Amino acid sequence: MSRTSSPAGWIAALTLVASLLGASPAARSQGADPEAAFQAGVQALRAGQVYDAIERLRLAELARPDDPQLQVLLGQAHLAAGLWVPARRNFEAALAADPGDGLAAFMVGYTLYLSARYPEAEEALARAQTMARDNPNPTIYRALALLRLGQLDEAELQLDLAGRAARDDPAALRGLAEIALARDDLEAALGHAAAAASRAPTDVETRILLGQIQLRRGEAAAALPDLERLANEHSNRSDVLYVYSQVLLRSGRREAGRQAVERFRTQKAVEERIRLLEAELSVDPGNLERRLDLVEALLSNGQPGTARIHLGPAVRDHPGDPRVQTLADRVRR
Amino acid sequence: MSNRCRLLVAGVLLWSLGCGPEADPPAPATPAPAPATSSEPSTTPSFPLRDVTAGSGIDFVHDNGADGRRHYPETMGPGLALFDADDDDDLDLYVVDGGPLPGGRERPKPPNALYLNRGDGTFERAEGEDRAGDRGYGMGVVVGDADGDGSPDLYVLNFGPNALYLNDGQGRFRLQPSGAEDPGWGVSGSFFDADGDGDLDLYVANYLEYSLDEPPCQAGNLEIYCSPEQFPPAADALYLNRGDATFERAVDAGVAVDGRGMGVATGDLDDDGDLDLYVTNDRSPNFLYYTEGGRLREAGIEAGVAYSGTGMAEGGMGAVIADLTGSLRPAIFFTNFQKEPNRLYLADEMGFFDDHGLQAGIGLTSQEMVGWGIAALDLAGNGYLDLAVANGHVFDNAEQFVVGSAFALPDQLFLNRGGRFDLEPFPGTPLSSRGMVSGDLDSDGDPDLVVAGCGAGLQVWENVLGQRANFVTLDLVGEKPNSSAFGAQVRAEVGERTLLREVTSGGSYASHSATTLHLGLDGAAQVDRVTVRWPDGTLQSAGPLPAGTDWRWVQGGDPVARAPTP
Repeated sequence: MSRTSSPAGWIAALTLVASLLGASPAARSQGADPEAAFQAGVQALRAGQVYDAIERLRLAELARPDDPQLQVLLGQAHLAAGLWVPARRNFEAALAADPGDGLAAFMVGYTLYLSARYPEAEEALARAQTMARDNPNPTIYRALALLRLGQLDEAELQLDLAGRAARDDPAALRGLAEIALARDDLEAALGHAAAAASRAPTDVETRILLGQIQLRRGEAAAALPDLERLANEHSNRSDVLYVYSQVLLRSGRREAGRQAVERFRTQKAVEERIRLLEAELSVDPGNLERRLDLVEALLSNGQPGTARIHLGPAVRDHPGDPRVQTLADRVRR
Repeated sequence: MSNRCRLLVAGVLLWSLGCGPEADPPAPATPAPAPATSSEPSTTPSFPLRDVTAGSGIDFVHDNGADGRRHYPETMGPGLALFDADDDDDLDLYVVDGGPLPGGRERPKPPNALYLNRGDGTFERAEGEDRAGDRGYGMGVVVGDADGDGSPDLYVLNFGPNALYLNDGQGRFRLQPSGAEDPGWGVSGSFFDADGDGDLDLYVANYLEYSLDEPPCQAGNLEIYCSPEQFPPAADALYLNRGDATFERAVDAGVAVDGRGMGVATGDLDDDGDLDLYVTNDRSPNFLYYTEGGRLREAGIEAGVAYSGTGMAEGGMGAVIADLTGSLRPAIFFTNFQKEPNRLYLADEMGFFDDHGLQAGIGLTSQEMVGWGIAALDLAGNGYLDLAVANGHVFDNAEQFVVGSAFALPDQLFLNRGGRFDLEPFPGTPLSSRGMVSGDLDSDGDPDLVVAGCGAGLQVWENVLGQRANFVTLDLVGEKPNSSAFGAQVRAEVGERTLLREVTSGGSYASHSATTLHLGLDGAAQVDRVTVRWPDGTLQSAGPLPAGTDWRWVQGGDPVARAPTP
């Protein structure tokens, strides 16, 4: 299943991918030069062009796989794209190259946390705490890992340790809200969640949590306006549609609730299909039909960035295939 | 590799990506005398159960047929049942067995096992052709009076055709051609009166469509069991009893078809006098059925119990419905796959459910486990139902690729402190547990526990916390044909408190616990008054019933004290 080829071949292929997927002229002009790719990747990352950054930095990685700085940057790009597993591998590589790198140590723990590997995350974050004492993030995320492990008192203690940083950090505030929720202190939970939402007003998870707490308080009607907005903004997320449907049903808007349930079901089916296709491709990456199905599904679901990443190998391996060209055009658009 | 790409990176990705309230329970009582044993029972100070397997006479070892081909059914059983098979007033034990699956080395299939209680909590395996020694590849079992003759019958769920065994009342069984020989992969079931005609119908939860031609999946170079998502769900079935223990599959009865069925629990969730159902599904939304005029109305999503709070279909496993909070409202509790908390759903006045597992202390503490069977039992007699949960990983080689996990995982005991639960991990060497049942094995007045391990033996746990003086037990016998009294609801007034209990079949995972009700008195001298709402809706009351007494109550008559077991 695995594919082997020379680094030079990969560089040429990735350059082609970059050009087909609409890399900037400046980036294209860097050609196969790893240093130029690195610089272009850094620039793309700074500009928030995550998928460009991944392509460039992957290109650069071929020439300097042991560079901890590059691994951290590539990890951050993967993280920004929601690709936690490759992100963790990057941070682990960075940490292996520089065992004293506190940021890399934190990021390893953080990506483990994102992958729901809480016992390992807690251990990794505890190590990171000792390596970067000025950084509150290891403490905050260690607390969140402890929370996920059901150790509420210890989680709260860690958030206390994080001090003022925790009181301003949306993730920490979400954690405090969840601790309060677990203790059935709905008033405190609402307060923390509202504080988190005020600091991160566009964060979907925080708004969902806020809605769930309102639901628990029997205040579905109060949750409705924001969840309605959220459902309109993120109609391609089943979690949003699910909570929205529950809020509608519990506000007495049964018919609208049932319609939202149907929207949720439809969206759920789309996401399930995407998940299955991704899983299949993870073990059979050369399956062009599946890859094109996945890209098509991602585009239809309003995820051109992820589609672009998945289309890359097809562009590399089947540049003359008209279906690939068509999808590349759609991704560009 | 098959065209469904059943390799396991995919599998792993899919699977990993679920006294008063203020008072402490009584201090542990002086342990009751152990049953006659040939070796010392295992005791851990302060843990309310002690392992008495060694002296129990139960030598059953589950044969899951694993021979390296990693057929999926190998890792899913077994279930078991506690019931009085031979009408001698003690609990007998029935365990299903697997055996070799086709295509491997041929050898005889071991029969399912019936163990008869000697009356002291020790058992002897019943021999003979009429002991329901079914030779299908067993998954689960459920008990109920299918033919309405007054004795409990056995419905065995198999990977392959299921089987109904009718009991002659003396613990001897004959195979009944029933029309309910569902050919699918049955796991759990429940007897209940779906159509209101008085006899017991049968809900069968089928898992998924699986062929033994399927190759194992892989995680890197490691062969592993596949993920359920790689196979289509198998439709569940509702079988309506014609009144003579023959059944016909209900059509247009509202049975949903798109779940990978695992557990089935029944209880009167809408307090309308009939039993409703909760069906846990693996990687597909759970079902909530309200029984309405002979039909089932599936309302899982609208009621908020089909998915997690953010709309994720979880790996639902076993389920129970019982009043777990002392609020006189039946709750739904079910176990989940790893990384998914076990959930405790409580309904509000409008019939919408919320997960209170987090608040109750039984959510996050279960996240690293893969939960299966459940027993809801009042160990101390404080009037609150504790929860015992059977845990074990699906992957027999989990140690090699699931970080920090293992095939055998410790079972968990959640002691109920008035609606909030404190975790007590089981001591000793864990099994990869599947089925779990509760009942008073040694007739000492308190409930005990039996757990079945996949590819392993059983564990028998004696309750050393309870004391006879802290309980009143009640056996309900319904009017025939539902002599099992499934659907009967009991409200027991004890001082200022009222206990709500229901008589149901199935529950747990692939298993059936004893149906004797243990009414915990929390130190009170008596149950002041018991009111039974029988399955046909008639009400009867009686009382007081003094502490430490056992009662049998036949519908229409008065409760009759049973002779205490010496």
